[in-house]
Amino acid sequence: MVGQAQVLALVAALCAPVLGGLGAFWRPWVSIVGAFCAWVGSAVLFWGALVGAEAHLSLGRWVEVGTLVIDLDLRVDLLAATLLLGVHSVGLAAQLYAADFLRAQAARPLRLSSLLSASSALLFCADNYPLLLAGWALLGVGIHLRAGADYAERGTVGRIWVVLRSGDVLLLVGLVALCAQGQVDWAEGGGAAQWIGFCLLLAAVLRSAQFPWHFWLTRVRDPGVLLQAFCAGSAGIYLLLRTRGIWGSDAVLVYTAVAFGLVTALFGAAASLAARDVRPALAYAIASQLGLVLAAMALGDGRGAALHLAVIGVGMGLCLIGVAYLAQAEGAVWDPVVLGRWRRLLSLPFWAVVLGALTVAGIPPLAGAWSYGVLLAGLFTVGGPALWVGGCLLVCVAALCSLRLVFLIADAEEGEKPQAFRTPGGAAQTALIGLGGLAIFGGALGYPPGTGFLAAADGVVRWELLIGPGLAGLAGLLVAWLAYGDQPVDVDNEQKTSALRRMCEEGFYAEAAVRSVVGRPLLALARLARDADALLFELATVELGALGLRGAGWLLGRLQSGQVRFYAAVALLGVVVAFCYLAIT
Amino acid sequence: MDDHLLSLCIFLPLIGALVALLWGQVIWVHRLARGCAGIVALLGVYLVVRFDSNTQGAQFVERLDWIPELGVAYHLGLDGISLFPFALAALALFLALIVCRPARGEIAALLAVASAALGAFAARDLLLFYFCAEAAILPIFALLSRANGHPRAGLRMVFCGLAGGVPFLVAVGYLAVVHLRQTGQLSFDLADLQTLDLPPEVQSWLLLAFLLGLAVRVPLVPLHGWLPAVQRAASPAVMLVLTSAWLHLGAYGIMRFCPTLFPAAFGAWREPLAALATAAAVYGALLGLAQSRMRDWLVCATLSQMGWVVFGVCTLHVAGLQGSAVLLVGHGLVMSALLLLVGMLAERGVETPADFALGRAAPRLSGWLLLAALAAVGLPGTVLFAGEFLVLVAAFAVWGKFGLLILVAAVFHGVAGLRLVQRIVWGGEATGAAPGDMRWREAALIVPLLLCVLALGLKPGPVLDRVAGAVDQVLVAAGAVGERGAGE
Repeated sequence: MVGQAQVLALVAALCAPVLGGLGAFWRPWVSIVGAFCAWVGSAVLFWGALVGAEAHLSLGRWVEVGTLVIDLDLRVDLLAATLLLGVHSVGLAAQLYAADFLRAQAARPLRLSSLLSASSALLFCADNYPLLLAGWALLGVGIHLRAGADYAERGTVGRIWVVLRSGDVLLLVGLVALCAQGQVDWAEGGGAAQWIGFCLLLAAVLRSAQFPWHFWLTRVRDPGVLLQAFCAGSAGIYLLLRTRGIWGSDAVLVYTAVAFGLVTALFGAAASLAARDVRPALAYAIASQLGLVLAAMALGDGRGAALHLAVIGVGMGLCLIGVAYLAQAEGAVWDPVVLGRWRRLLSLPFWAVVLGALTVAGIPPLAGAWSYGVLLAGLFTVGGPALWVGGCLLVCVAALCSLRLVFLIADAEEGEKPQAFRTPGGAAQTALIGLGGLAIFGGALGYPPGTGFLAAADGVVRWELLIGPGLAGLAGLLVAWLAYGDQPVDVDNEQKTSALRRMCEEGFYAEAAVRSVVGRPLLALARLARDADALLFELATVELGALGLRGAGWLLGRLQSGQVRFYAAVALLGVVVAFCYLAIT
Repeated sequence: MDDHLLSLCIFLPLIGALVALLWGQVIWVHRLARGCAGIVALLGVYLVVRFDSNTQGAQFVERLDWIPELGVAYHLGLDGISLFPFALAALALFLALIVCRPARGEIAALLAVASAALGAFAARDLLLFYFCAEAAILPIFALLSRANGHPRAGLRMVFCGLAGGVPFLVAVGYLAVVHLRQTGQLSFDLADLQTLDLPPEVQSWLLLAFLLGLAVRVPLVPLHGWLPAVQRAASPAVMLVLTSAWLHLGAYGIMRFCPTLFPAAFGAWREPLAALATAAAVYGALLGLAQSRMRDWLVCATLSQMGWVVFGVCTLHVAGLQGSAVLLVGHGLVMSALLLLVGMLAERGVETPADFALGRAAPRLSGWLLLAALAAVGLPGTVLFAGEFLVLVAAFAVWGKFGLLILVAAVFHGVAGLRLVQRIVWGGEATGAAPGDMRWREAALIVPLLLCVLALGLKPGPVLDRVAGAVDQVLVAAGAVGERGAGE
């Protein structure tokens, strides 16, 4: 019975977004129905995985060439189910937000959101590498299109595509090598050459927006797109979790991943703290979280990575959707100091932001506290107290980033209600209440103690390790209150930007450097090749060839006349030369 | 009933072409031509469905002595490798006649080119193959000479075709003479010529002659000089037929003749040829980055994808050859869709990024354009990805990680295609006159093609099953049992 329910849920999680997306061509709200069905399916899968029931489904054979046999098999274990639930929750919320916010223009974003949900489901449910690659690439295309649907962000679209496409190809290189060696299913998990692991790692680094390729994510400005970009970024972490058997035993690769993760975590936090616009502040905070998860997952056992990604998705969803309504109340004003003026008039979005920030900060008893706890407990197991303390410090910094925004919003002077004032509609309210419920009831993941995610491998639950990150989050709350709380901000003075802030806003010029070193020379080379192509091949080969032929024709024309005889003579000459040569040799 | 199907497919368009030339009523000529092409396309589908993948060797065979004194036979037959190019050529003719101008000369030339191409794909006799392949030159010249503003495109193509055709003919003649010496009989039959005992040095020269004749058609860099001018001159309808009659014929010829007729030489020269194919794929994709017109990008995409096809053949691995066959099918379907879409865009005055947002003005058209472009850049789930994946697995199995260098092309190709489509679909601010959206008649042409692309991407089995037997025969003839064994 459980097995059948799991299979049905798997089909719903995979097919409902597709059908919803197709149905959106008829009526846009069908997409939301599809997303809701997918969410229900993923919730059932999560419940089943928690009680130890994995879902399997085989859709037949993809290719069979010699010994290379690749099936279209799907499997959902606890890791996949957790991420699936998180991504579908966030996806549903993003769709509700888009339907409410964009109204008449919501059809395209809703369809593309369905594509994102379906590709995420394919990625997380894939039982083998080619299917995983299909979900991965579709997810990349989906986020590219989702950003492209916003006509104001064309520059971002190009960046997203270049980075994600490069990651796709790196992943393809690694997976082709694995498949050629007979490792088709990720469950086989054998070792492989270092360069294969490096390809997979680099693909994951690109996809999960690690420094210096963070800009594809941090340049996104639309809150809904940013939320879905986070889901796409979490795919990079998921890939590394699945291929741990390939790269996890190689110290060079492990420390490379840790280096990427740590640098991104610290850089993202610094840039987030320096940002005045609430959108890049949250975008950098997302990048920082992805870096933290990468580093912790590479060093530790990675048990809590999926849970943490799902929880951060919920928390960031609350922050982004709430902030979007606060900012759009009077027009597109994204300064946290200014948008805080409407917090009493828009109490639901404001409290959603607070709840989301507290979740991301890991404040107990919200879900974030447990996810940080499980994530960092793995660090303690592998690296001892020093690593664990380092992880707690990063949690403190992450808490500071998210709670800074809350204090800036909360401390703004209240304004009077303007004439054009936009309040969230029923769909957006549902999204906020739903995500809030998940953040609160996610706190119940810790109960009963010692079960589910908190079940220790050795059966001994170390509560001090689980509670420690929560205390670090509280320390971050204290620091944020000391730094930003109860301090009215002088708007005029805040407009002055320091050199550090400018550098942070420019992403420490990493993007410009990449553009100068790679992008421009490559385009110049392409243009050069285009011009040379016309010159070299069209003129040199064809024209010179034609010139030669005309010359030969002029010579032969003395003897013959007429086109047919001319070509016959050329052919005859060729035959004679060839026979002469063969006769001589 | 199946005994004369191939002849029917070949001669029906030819008869249609003659009628088109002789009959004065253009409207009726157009209708008749469409009817002929529709029947041929349906027969092509019927052949694919009827093809028995469990049977080794050619099917639907027809054999008649043509010139017995010279050993030339009218020998037709289809195996797994020739089946799909044959069916695609029939389909391309039908699509071309749907969208072409109602002009008698153009209709007749299109029918004649397709007839010649169908004959070449079905030919089991080398001289018949050469005859059919070269017979297409005259109508192609006529088609391209009608294009305004590009009077020399046709001349270039004819020059390149003849320049490549001469060494090919010489090599074919030499093979027949050797067969006469070794067996006492003159024969141009492919099966007979595959049994010849040729010294490796002679094989190398003959392989070079064959490659010259075929690579100029594919075209492989640096023999592609004719393609950009032709692409600029030809209408989408003409390019549809040319793609199968010229480009696919070249790739098919390399796959069919080179490894089987000259196994030792091909084994020795396949690495340089693979390097050339890699260079072609990367070069085509790189050129695509600098294009600003959809039509020009299609040229670059074709250059790149044909490089992939030849690269797959060079692996002499079961996965590589099957991947090449799938790529050829995918290229035919995707390029047909893209060429039709380019024609639709041109009708609306959109070829370059313009001052209107096509995505808003024509959402259905831009949606299908996007899907076709994604399929062209090898998105997983589409048929080109299945082919590229198999070719890559084979390349890695044969050459290790150096075999994956061709993936550089995938990066450039993907970025170039989506960048251009993005600028067309999301470019501008909707200030100009909005172009109309896709009509139902247009959708009826595009949607089935793209559904085939998706269906074969998800389940390439129908192609792989039918190709498997012929690929095994090629590998046996090429003496590549090692790779075959590794594949199995």
